[in-house]
Amino acid sequence: MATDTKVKELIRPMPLDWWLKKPAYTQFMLRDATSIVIAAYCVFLLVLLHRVNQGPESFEAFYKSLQSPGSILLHLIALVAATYHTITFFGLVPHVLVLFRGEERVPDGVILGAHYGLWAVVSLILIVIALMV
Amino acid sequence: MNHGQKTVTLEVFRYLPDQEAQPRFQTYTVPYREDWVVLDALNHIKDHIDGTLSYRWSCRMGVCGSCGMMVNGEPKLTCAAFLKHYYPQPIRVEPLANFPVLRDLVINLDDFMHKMKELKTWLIPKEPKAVSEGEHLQTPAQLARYKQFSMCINCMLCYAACPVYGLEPRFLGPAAIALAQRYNLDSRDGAREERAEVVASSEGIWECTFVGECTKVCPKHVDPAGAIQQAKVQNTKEWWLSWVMPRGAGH
Repeated sequence: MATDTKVKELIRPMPLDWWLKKPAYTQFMLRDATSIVIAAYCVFLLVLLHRVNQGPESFEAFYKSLQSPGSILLHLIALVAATYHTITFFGLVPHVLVLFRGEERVPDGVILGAHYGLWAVVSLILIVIALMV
Repeated sequence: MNHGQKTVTLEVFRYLPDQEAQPRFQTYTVPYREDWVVLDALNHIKDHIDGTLSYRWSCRMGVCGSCGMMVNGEPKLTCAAFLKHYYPQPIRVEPLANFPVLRDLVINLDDFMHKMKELKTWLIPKEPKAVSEGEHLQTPAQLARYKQFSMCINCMLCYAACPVYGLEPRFLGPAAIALAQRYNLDSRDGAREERAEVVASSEGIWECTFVGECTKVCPKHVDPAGAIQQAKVQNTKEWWLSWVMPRGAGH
């Protein structure tokens, strides 16, 4: 049995840059990093709500500041991060949402398709509302 | 050896603790054959070039789980890694990552064995049933529920691929949790609650961050990442239900 040996076992620790060694690891770290961006955006939405609450003048001033190049850049970064977050999240759902119809499993494609479909519909509705306002 | 014989180079990890303090790589030139796998090359080395090389193997057909090693940095069953996939580049063979090395390509897998015991990865029937009462009956639908997770051959490629296990060795890991799920989902089994404390511990499912590499490297398509996330969903549901319908002490 291995536990009886007096062999000097070799331990190979993981390097600090382990997440750069494999593209999949890097993509995973980026995926998790997008949650920081999402959290920051949630704070932004709270600030927006607060400004709306403070009245039309306060909101107008805040709305103007959002049109600055810096703000637009941050929003673009947030959009890219949120999109990456969503796509990677959807990719994982078929592993989690396992539905059986008797012996047969609902195919991954159906689950994935339903998610993308719902995303498209909700996005369309939001865009229409945004354009109408 | 023929004059025109094609050859391929293997760079093999050597660790001989009774002779050398440090590991090193040793280069071997082996014949290249279209139908050879890395295991064939290792066997050729052992038989014809260097008998001191140590490694594990058995069935050579992907069902025993013995021959898992790192091939060019990827966890692979060496009986399933064809030379032609790498030829003519040299092939680097190392022991399975995230495990202590005993010698050359042989790792210590006590940790995995211990974790399977902790998770009670065996059938614990709902009610004791005497042999005279006959066999347990199971419908195809009941079998389908857990069949995928039963395909695990304990090769531990998933542990080598999991960065969480590499950083936190206390993590129960993909295969052990997938096997626990295999029994939890088996209609004959009645020990889900018994396993739950270990499964849902901080070293269990909640240590997993769903990197998903375990599922990618699994040679039997077990999808251990899926097993873990499904266990998270189930555990969360039960946790919420326990507030609405408390089951009393000891859960």
